[in-house]
Amino acid sequence: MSLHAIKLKVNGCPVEATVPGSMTLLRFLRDELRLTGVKDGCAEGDCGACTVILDAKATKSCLVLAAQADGSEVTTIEGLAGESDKALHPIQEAFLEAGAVQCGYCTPGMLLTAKALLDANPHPTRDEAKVAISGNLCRCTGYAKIVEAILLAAVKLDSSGRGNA
Amino acid sequence: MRDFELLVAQSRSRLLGHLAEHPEGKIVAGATDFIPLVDAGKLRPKIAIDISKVHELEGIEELAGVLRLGPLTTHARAAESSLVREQATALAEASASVADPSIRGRATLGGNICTSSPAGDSLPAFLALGAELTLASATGLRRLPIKDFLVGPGKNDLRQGEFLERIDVPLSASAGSAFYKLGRRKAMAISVVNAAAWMRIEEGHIVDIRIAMGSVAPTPVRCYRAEESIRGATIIDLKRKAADGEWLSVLRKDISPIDDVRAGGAYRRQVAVSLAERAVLRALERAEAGI
Amino acid sequence: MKSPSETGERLIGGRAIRVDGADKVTGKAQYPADLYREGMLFARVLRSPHPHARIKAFDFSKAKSVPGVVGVFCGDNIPSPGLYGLNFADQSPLARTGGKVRYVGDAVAAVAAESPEAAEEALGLISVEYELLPVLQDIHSALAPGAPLVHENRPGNIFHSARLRHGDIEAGFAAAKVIVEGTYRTPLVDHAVLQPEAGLAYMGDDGRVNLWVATQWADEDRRQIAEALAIPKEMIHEVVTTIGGAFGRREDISVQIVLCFLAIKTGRPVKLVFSRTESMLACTKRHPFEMHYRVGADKDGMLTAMQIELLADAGAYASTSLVVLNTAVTLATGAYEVPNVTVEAKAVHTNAPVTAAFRGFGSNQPNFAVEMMMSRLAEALGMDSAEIRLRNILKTGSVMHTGQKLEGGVGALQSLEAGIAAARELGLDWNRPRAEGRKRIGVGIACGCKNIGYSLGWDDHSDAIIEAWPDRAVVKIGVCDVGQGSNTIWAQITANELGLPLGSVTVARNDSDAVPDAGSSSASRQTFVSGNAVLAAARNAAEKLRSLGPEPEPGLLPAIGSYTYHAPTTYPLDPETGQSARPNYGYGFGCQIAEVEVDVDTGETRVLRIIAAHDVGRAINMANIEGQIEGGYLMSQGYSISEEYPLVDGKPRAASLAAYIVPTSLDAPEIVPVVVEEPDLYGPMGAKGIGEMTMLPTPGAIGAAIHAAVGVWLDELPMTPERILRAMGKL
Repeated sequence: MSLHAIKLKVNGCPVEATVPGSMTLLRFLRDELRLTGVKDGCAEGDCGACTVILDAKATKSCLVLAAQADGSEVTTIEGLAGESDKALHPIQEAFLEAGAVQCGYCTPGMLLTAKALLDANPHPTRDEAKVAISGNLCRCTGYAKIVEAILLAAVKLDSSGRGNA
Repeated sequence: MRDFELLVAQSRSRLLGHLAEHPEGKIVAGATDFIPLVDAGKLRPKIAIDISKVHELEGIEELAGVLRLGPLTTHARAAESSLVREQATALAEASASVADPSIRGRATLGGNICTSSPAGDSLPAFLALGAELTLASATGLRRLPIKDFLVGPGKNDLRQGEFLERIDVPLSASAGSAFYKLGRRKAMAISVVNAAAWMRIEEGHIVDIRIAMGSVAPTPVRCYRAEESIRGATIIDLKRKAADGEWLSVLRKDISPIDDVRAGGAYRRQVAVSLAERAVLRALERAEAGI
Repeated sequence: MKSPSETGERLIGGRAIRVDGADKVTGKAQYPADLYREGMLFARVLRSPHPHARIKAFDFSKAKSVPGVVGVFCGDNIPSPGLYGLNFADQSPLARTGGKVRYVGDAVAAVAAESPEAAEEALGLISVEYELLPVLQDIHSALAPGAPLVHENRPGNIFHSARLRHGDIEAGFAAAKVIVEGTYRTPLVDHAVLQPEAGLAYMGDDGRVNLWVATQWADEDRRQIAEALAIPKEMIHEVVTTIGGAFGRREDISVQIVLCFLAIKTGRPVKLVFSRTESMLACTKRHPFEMHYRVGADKDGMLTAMQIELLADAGAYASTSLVVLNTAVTLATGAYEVPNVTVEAKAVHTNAPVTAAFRGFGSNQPNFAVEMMMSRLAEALGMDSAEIRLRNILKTGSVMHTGQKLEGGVGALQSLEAGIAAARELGLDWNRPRAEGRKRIGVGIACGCKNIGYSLGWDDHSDAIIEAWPDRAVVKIGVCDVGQGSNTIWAQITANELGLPLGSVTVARNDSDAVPDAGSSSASRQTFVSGNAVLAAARNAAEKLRSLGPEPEPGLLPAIGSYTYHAPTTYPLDPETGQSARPNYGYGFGCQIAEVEVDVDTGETRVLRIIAAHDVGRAINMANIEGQIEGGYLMSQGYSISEEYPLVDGKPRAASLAAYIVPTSLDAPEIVPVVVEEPDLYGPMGAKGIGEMTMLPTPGAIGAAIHAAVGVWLDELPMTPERILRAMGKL
């Protein structure tokens, strides 16, 4: 077993840790950092519940070795609201207002996928929003209100002057 | 997940060093195949060598009529690159069809090639485009066509101590290529059948053509009989033939599909022809348009 | 973000934001795998790799010697009989020496260890000697003369039979101008809930075992744990966490008994989390059905007769197969009035996984067959496929094939008419297929009928307690919000009755020590039954609060309102005739119209648009209702065209979300929900249920659309490209 000293930023905070080579980023975030907002739906890359933002890209954390995240910046759901000065990020508000949250298990992954999308593409089309979440499975909503929420979030972020990058 | 020792290579020379010391080391980059395979017990490496930070292995460039792709090129990069989209369209389309955007953002062309799945989406595209691989080791470089590299399901000719250094795709003017994928859903699908076609036209003739298919044989395969039935034909003749149904049915002699969890062999035999036909006609369209 | 009350939006019928939504979007909501407790052990369960085998011996010696392993156990450690089950106790939490395993995934042994790695290593070192037994891979093998028994203590593999006779079937067929027949098959499918099963259990200082888990019915969990472990139910304290989807999956025991057993045995807190693979192997599935329908109609398209045979695969253990089969019988004629009907139904044990509750509960399968029959009848008569449905659809006053006369709250015709109207507006025409290159596009229409609530004599009731202050209220009711939004409904109803802002009403945690039992979140019953309980309790609390005057004495607060609501009585089916004055107290209806594109060369199928018109009685929360329609439709689309869990010689071909094809966002069509409100006679403010109904019309609508597109009638789900090409004669 190899151990690796890693330094990364998680939700804006510097983190130093020693991780086994075979540990995934998902297990590191959930078990070592106790960020249980990162969900484990399959741990095999098939469902997207574990999605985080890794160096600005929506990424399935179960498919990254923790050691590979050395030097990277990770945002989990716990860090989403932290970027703005209100209690909820506009994307979180949009999901609630659009009725896009049912059981909520896919929600953290969906929110972070949406954030990464809107950061790179502030005015996505409906189709672009659908493609962005095509690796995030949802069994409750039929995706309809999640797509509406993403489009609503784009409007909210526009009108709020895009205070966050 | 089963434990293994991870070595992190920070540069090409360190990578060579690790491989020299551990020739049996399993290379990992995007890890999108590696992690599920190790988890399922299908891959049992004692040592894994992470090359995700070996920046020398990134990059897409054109040099002297050859498209040179670093193995760390992600599917997302390949799909978005204007160079790839214009000059090796089949590859851009293949990469765009893989999994979902988050996996495309990490999974690499090198990984797709070295996993060597019969269903790997970029593989028929590379075969049809006539790609050549450069394999590097402490003793030097080795070049071989990709068709000689893929030897069996999940098996390839990568030797101990070697790594995939670069993928070269020869470019020609007046050529066009296309890729089609048939999966059981519109994202996150392993191909039931995939098809790629490339052709070069000159003065109303199809002077050269390559057709490759995946998920229809132990490895992705070139469809030589199908190619032969088209090579040298006039474009007018091809279009006339294509007005009939099943005009490329000779392709069935080039493939040997099996039943698996995704589809039956008989179904694959049937639809492979339609998919290849569509890829050929689309490649022709692009060659004609001069894309 | 303003709350609806602040903006003046009326609470009932509006789009109140989910009361548990903020926790879910911030990651604060705790699902069972998110729980930690100091000193906790990690458990794993060994699962049978064989579909049918007897256990000759266990050898735990190697497993026990792994450092960090605290214990390795099997059923021998549980006092006899040690069985559980929702209707019949026939399932062992862990296997016994001399006992059997009956499906791939059946629980064999359990490990508790200090770390997940130690538990995994020990699991791999458990040695079990199996004597392989012949595999009953499907209903027909199990029914064959001399077939081995899945359960030796039963006379045969037929677990349950039911029959129904209504009217005069011979006369019915004699009066028919057209008769069509067909055999229809549906597969094993998995709920594929996003949250794999998990839980945490620990002993309290009071000697009770505390269990934190996601479930559909805490009280029933406790009853089964108590029975299996031979301990009093009062010794089990259960707290329901946030639940990551259910759809019937969490009705059956998964982690609960093993967790409590290990917590009691080791004295340590224990956590058990299933991997996705384990969840798919071990947990329940929908009943495969094989159905034969013979249907007659007269020259005007009026149904005269239906002769129905239903064979349900009851899998390895009973679970709720008896009730599922009965549901199938009571809904075997779908949304239509049929004067002459016979039904012969059997549920048969095989070595398939446990077949149990799954959204629709035995109604989806017959509805598929009925709708395909209706579409084929229309074709045979040269009649419009909407028209034949308009003529036969159930109405107030209709007599169902069980003999029940429908008193009211029958929104069937209204749903059908609303669907047709929406289709007209959107230009969906089931008589006008079209071609676009190698694609053919067709439109299909289908209806459905699903009962609301428990049936056939079961006392369907729920208890609510509401504590009210002048400025806030707390609702105490043991309902599991599985994602459908029930917590929000109670808050809405309570806020509405007490004149409070929504944000001032809290729904208490579902804790068996603190809230009364409300029955399961299943059978589309909670809005109806618990809604009535909450409504009455809220009115009760409001009255008490009013009686305290404008400035109530603090010592007299809170005003406590409570109510036990019993749904209208239902009656069992007569064992010979299947007749009952009221098998169910309510029904929901729906109509779906699907526009489907089929690739004629590959058979690939894409739903382009779907109209889903559903009769909900009254929409208390419109966003919740639309969410159920959209989500239920897409789950049923998966059932119709891509999902299956195939077995080969009793062994699953795969158990992963890579191989099990649920729809992604790119597979979802444009969904047009149409909410029909035909008030229910007994539901709270006229509301009834919606959860399951939204799945029913889908396979029939898609099947009819495929026929319109490419001219073939399919008879087996899923309607895959392969099956389409085969039906087209291309394979």
